Amino acid sequence: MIFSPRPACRFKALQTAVEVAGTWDYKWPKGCRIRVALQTPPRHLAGDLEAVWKRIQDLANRWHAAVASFAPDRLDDVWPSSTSVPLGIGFSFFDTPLEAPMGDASFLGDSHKSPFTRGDRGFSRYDVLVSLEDLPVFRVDPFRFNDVAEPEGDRPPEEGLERVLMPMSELGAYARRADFGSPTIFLGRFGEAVTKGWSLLEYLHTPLGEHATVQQFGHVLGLANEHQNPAYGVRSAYRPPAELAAAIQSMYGISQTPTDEEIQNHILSPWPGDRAFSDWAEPIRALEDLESVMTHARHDKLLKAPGTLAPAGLVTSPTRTDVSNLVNMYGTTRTGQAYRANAG
Amino acid sequence: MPQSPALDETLNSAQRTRVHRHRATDGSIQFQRTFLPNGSQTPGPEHHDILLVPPDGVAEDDQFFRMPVEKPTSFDRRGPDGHYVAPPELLDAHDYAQRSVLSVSDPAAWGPPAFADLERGPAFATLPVKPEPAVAFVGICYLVNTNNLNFRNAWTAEEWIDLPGGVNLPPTPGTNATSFEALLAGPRGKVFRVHIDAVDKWTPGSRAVASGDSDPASKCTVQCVDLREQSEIWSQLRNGAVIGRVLYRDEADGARVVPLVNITTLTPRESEDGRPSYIQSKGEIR
Repeated sequence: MIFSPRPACRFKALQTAVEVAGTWDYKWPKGCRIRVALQTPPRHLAGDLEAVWKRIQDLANRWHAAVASFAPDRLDDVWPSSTSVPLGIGFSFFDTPLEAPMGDASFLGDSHKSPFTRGDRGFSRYDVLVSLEDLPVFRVDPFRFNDVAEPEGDRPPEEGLERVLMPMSELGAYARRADFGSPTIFLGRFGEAVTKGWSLLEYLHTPLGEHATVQQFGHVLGLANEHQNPAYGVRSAYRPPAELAAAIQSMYGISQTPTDEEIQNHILSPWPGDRAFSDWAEPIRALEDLESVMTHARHDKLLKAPGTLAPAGLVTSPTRTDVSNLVNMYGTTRTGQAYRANAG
Repeated sequence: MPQSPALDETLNSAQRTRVHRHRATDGSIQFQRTFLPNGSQTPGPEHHDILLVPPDGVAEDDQFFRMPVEKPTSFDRRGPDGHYVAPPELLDAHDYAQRSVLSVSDPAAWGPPAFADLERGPAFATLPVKPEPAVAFVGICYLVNTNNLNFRNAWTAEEWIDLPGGVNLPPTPGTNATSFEALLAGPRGKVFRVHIDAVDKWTPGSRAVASGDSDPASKCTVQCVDLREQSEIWSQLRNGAVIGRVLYRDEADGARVVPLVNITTLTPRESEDGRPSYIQSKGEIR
């Protein structure tokens, strides 16, 4: 799988049934402070670790800055400064890394699972666990993984073995479903950052690194892909699937070709779930002019004809569109109308 | 590639969890009665493990018991399908889906810090019966949390017969309350908050009408809950809560813990003629 997870259901209720499902499924309870822990990274990062961790926190906190900029009147109830205020949402970062990895065998992602014993009280209760391993890594489901052989080349992963090629994160509160010691967000170098030999800190200061990291923390907050907002309606603005696959490879510098199913599920299809149980904000712009950090790095490259307002480069901070969605999700409903952030 | 000691340890750990935990061999969801895409069903009852969160102090904060049930693909089968014959296991942070279960079972520890002291959560739940989005995959289980119910309650506290020499126990919570509220989760994604006031003033057989024509002394309020604002209620129900306690907040009375009942878990199943099985014809009770 290339992209961040999205809900998948092989068993669907009968069409006549009410679909009680939506983005509320992974929304954090209001008032939560998402506890973000860092998994002890590989040794080659040890020298930069403090700077890297600070850089990641700074990028995550662009969400707070964006709320302050685009929705200053809602800052107190969407991103309160105090944890004792039972409103809104926020991040709480652990200072020291947790969960020493079991070894350098990075091809087996679940090797990050610590072998702590009952007497080891070193683990802490966290919500999100950050991995800084270079990508790709493999995530292993130990109950579905029956073949210990290392996947070779383009051979499809074995059942229960998932290859993480690009930065990705579990959506919102789904992070709590991962076992202790299993990363829930992968922020390591990928694509050209590896091939060009950038350090992780250098990568996090590039537009691509900033975009990827800010976006993944948007997924941590529970925001889905904005281009899949059901309110955009018909998606005829996109290029054919084959062209989309090539565009994805080009914009991220990856060799893996997205499958037709991935293109359909992560670009062309609207987000699943009933809008009555979701927090989608009404779009501020047309899909062709979409300006959001919660979409692909160069969304304009996916379109047949980008709009005149479409951003020409990477979006590296949350936009008015993204803040509108965040306020809808965690702000206190006042007028019953969907919120629309200020122009800023 | 030669296997590293770290890889060996990972595999040993996985083997330990696979061998020493009484589980289905492939960890997949066991839909013994499956709703297929074409709308048909396969026959057969469903068998689910029982997870029991014991009273505080019995085990560590992050531990709970699992009573495994025999399933068609159970590893190391010890009895017929549906039987609970394997010894209980004490699950801890090592274990598969343990974190997921705790986040559902103990929302106080996993929710807003401002309400960490309000003990609440499901007393009984049927953990999700849908494929999980994260890599870690929780199975289908019954969950019982003994800390979220009053074992002795207003209905069961009294002795059957008040004979001399009996034990006089203290009143159970809510025994003498004159008002109460409850959340009833119904169909179509709707939850209703019911508030009954002046309980002592209600005459048996009387009823309140939503239009407000009832006797003011016997007051009842019914409100359709805005689940957008009450995310813990939504989360508990979507994670299988049958009955329990949840955080409810409103401007009038602030934040408080309110009982929650998921009515849809108790809706009678239809009989072969399509009517609810508990009614034979109007006015008759089968």
